[in-house]
Amino acid sequence: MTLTRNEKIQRIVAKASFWLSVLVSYAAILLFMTRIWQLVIIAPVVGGLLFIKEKAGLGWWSGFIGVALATLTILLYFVATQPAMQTVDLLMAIIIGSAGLGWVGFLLTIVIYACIGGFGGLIGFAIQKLVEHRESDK
Amino acid sequence: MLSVPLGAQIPAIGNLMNPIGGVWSIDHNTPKTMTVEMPFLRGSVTVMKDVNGIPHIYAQYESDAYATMGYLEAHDRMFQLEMERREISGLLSQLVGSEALPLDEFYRNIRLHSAGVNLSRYVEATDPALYQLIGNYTAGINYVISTTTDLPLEFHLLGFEPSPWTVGDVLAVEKLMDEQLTFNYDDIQQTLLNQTLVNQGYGAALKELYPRVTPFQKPITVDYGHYTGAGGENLISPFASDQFASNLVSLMDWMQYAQQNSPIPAFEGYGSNNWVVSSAKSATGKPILCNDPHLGWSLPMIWYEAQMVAADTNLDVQGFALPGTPFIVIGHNENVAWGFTNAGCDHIDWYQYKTNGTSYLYNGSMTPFKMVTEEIPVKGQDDVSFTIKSTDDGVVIMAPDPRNGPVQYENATGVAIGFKWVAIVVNTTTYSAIYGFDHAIDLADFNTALAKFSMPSQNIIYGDKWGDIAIRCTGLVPIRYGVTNASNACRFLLNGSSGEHGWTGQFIPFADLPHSVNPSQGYLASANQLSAGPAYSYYFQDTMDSGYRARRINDLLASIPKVSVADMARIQFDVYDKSAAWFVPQILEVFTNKTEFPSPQKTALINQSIAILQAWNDSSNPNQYRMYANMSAPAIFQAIIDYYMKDTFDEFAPIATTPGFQYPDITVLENLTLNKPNSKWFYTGANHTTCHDVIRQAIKDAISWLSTNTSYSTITDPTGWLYGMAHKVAWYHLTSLVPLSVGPLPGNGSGFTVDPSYAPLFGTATWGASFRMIIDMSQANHEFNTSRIVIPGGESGDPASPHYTDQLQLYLKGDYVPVYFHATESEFTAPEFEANWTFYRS
Repeated sequence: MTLTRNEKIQRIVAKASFWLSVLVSYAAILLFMTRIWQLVIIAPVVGGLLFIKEKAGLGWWSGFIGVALATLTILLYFVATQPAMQTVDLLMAIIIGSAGLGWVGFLLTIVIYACIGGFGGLIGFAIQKLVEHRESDK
Repeated sequence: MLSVPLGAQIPAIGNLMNPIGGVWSIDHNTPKTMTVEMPFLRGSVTVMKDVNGIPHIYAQYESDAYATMGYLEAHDRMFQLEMERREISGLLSQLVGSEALPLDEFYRNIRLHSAGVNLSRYVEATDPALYQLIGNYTAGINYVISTTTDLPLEFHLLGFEPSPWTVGDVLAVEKLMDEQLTFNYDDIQQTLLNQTLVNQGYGAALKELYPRVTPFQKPITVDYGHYTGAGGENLISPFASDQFASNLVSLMDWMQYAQQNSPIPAFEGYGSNNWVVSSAKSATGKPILCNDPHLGWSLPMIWYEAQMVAADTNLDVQGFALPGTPFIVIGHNENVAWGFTNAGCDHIDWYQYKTNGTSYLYNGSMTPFKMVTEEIPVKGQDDVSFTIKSTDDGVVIMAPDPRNGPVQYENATGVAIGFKWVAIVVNTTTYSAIYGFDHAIDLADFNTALAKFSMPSQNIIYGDKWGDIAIRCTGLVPIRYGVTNASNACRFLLNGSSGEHGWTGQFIPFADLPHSVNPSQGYLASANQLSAGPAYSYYFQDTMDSGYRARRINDLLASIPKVSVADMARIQFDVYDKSAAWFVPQILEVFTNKTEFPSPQKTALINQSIAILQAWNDSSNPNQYRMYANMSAPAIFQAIIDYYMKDTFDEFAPIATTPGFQYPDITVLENLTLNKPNSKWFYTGANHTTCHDVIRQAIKDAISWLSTNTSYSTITDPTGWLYGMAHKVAWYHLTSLVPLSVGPLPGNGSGFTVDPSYAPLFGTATWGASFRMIIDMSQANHEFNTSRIVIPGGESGDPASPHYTDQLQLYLKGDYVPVYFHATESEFTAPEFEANWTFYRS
């Protein structure tokens, strides 16, 4: 199957929109600096609202990936500059009861906040669709 | 969901794992170079952190040195400081809920924090310069608290933030040490013990088996003669009804519970060692001083090591401070060195009063109690009101145990129980004394400071570069009406309503405290034994160690003509059990006597076990009587002695678990075995058996017990019954969380070895030497590089820091870290330090 020029352009725009949404979600890194983790959801909501037009799933994934990358960036910074991994190792030993499971904490942290990002992206997409729906009703 | 705690132990995950603000961003803050702006400094300060993480503070002004000390302690030990302050202030329930209420009520009841606050007012009025220095120290602590955004792990786990410190908080830390070292209820225990023995028909036993001065004591000070035989005698105090005894049990149970469950480890063991040799007896030609205080082990440890130098007052001191305090409590400066052991002086008396709940009977009339009501904040519920009553004379009445509900035993029985304790009725000047130690230049100077040392009473040993050595048992010991060293009448609960043995208001004068200076034997040593012999006239000491450590230290020091630093290290790590040296030959004598121990009674296991003891008893064995974890003889010996004690005093078996009951001291058993082998205490039922019969039975019982114990039951050969399998040592974190703790590990030593660690067989010891220090005063030009120090843990309270437990492995091997004692920061060579921080005024 060959794509028409318009379809190609639409696909490129869709991809670009997705990655723009990821980029906006990555701005969660700035919201993390407020130390109020609940605010992190704002970035993917905005990303989903502005750029995700087609599928709810894309809204989820743009927020998930963007916030996951933001979280990963911060974690890598602390692991590189402080004994952060040793601390999380100890924390995991306290919670789980086994030593050497810092990597579980590492993954868990990324997944937790990435999921918040996913929900944010989903919410942004939903808001956008709600607005579109209301406008079409008018 | 992420904002809700997951059970009691796991806080809300959202906050905990927050990439910035949660555990990931915790400020471990150990840069190689750092500049810190502290607006309250007068000048600049340089801190060199040596390779062991120990700070060396170089300040232009002394006030800045203490401010920086506050900063560093808070930086390295913030959680410990917070728990210490909360324990003293009775604020643990605010953190963990009502389960800590019995602790909070106990610490409020004994008035630790209010005594600290009162003392701060006194210091402000009488010694404003000292008050100001302590204020600078708290400013340093509070600067860290106010500027740290990423708190240590423990704060994340418990979900709270630290609070600022006051001068009163700092002064109350001394009260915590007073509590750990002198707040005992031996008088109540003795009263209960007496009552229990009398009820069982052993009324005379107290006098024979529980003498105030236990046998074979070698006094710390050498100028007051020696006791012979069993020592001093007791007077028997009248005791009360069974109902009243039950109330006493309830009260003791509460106090034990609170002390054993407090976050700052309670003083479980009773011991410390210090000794000093003179220039003539020292291989270096100058005094060498050693100290290892035995306290509860924890992570982080109870001590914070530092060097402080200030140009304006010639302050130049190094040693150990208590976290939460600014001064070096034990250590050395360029001229003098000093160390502590607990003196066991009687600073507290317990009284009973007739009461109607609001008034108490005193000298024939009812007098209203003074009452103070405090509100205790409790997590998850309303504040709890707590009222503390006291008498005009300073006796604080103990409230009912909060765990037992609102049972007012004082109303139920018409009797209230209270205590009078030097720590809270006197404005102590201990901080002023310690400040003086840090600046002392010779013995006269040191003694001037020593005269101010109030609490907790200590045997303070001294050596200097001028060649003087000395020891003085120092502290404020009240003089009581009708009490002398010979009568020792106030070992029991006293009748407060009649003013029985009340305090005269005077204390033993400083000049009359037991002391020795430059003795001809060339050394001085203390290990919590008897302070002074019978020629000493004052009633002084109510608790003392069995004396085996003291006997061993004295033996070793006497046997070495010229004592070196290496000898000192060997003595500090010595696990020769002097009680084994006495009892093992007795055990073997019984075993080898074919009449006393006929062959048919000797099972294969008994033969094998005794063969192990025989090898251990061999004088050519380098491990003779050593309590090493990798040997089986110590376990066999310990089990036999435990049974010898129990089998000798089998009459007490029905009451052995009664609160307040304790078996006689082991030296009493030694004395009976040596001097009264046919004593009635060795009788078995109606049979007039001797000590040898009891030892034979103890051997059988012990071997049978060991062979069936879970830890040994699969080991058929007694050579596999390793002591370390039955004797563990452990260092628990202040939260008791296992991943932040070390151990249990197989441990050397016993309660009677110079390097001690005691727990019943198959138990875990959690106390012992809290550091080991050897200071050689022979060094010139400000160098102490032959001196040695080690702490069982590390300098940092951060579990992720390399300095959290880096010295513990050295400690376990008997090694030390070198002492870096440079006059200026520029003398540090590159391999000696790991960080260089600058503090400056804005």
